[in-house]
Amino acid sequence: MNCQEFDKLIVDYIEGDLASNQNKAVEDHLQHCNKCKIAFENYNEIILNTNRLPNFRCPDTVIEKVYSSIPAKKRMIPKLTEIYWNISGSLSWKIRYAVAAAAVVLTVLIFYPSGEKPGYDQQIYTAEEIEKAKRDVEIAFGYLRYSALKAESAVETHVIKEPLNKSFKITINNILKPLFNGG
Amino acid sequence: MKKIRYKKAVIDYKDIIYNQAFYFTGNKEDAEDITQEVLLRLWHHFNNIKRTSLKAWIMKVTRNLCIDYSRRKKEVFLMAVNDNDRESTIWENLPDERSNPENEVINIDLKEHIAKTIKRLPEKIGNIVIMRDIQDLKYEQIAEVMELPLNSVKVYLHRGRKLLLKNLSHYYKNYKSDFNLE
Repeated sequence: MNCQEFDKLIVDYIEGDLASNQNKAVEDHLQHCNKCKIAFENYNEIILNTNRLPNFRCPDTVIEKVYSSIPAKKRMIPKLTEIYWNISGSLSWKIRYAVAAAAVVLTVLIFYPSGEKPGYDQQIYTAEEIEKAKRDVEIAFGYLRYSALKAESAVETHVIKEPLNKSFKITINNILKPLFNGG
Repeated sequence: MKKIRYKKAVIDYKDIIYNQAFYFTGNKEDAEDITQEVLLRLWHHFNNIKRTSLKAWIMKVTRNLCIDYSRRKKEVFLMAVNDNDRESTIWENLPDERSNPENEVINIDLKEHIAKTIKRLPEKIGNIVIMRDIQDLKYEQIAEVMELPLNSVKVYLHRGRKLLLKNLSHYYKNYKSDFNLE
């Protein structure tokens, strides 16, 4: 190995990336060539000294400035309430309230799927009060069924602007079925 | 969620960006400005960067901004009458993270000379020396940042080390000027 060949292999030799025969050739050359030996010692020393240069800590003020420049959270998906108000313009007030009621009922269904009810005080009702409540519930379900259909078509027209996926419709119907059947 | 992941990335990379910029520009204020700019760009592109290439992305942007800053500085420098006062203050008032008795071996004068010499190296060579010998990045990562083949990275690094050695020869007793300096 001559000095030029040695020079080309220094980086890999330091990293330990040479094949064993090349490694041995480099070491032999270092033993026999005093010029390269000194050069190699200096080369190593400059690496060591550069390694020892301090790594500074980025000042906190920089990070504070960065965080203060970041805009507040942007919502990429419109809120459900925004969708509701966008489509509600085409609905009558009865439908609007019914859609809102449907949203509440669905929320309850989602969060209490096992039929668990939110806590309320036990109370005894008269037969008359129960009959009136049943009638009110039936009327409400009527609105609900109607509003579900209206909401479906409103979503198709104003939000997704194409017919709703069939499987999605089936899912909605399955969720609402127990209600329509008085379940 | 984005904010949490972003803040973690800021913690992980802020010092790397700062040091890369500091050693490249040799100036504390520029390093702060560059770090701030890189981190803001990171926020705006965060969702589009693959997690596996986050470090390479950050180092690429840092490198590009360093080049922009040094170009701008050169223009200002040409107009300035004498910039020596600023040059002599780069080591002042900076906390040394690694200060321990072992590091006291290198005196401040040599540190300053090495840093100044790195700053004067050609752009590619300088960036590679900083990334490898100061920041301890892997060769593969440097190759990705510099968009160079692995072998070229090693060649540039070797050239950079030899240029440093040549410029700091007076610190080395046995330095031979006929060492293969291309």
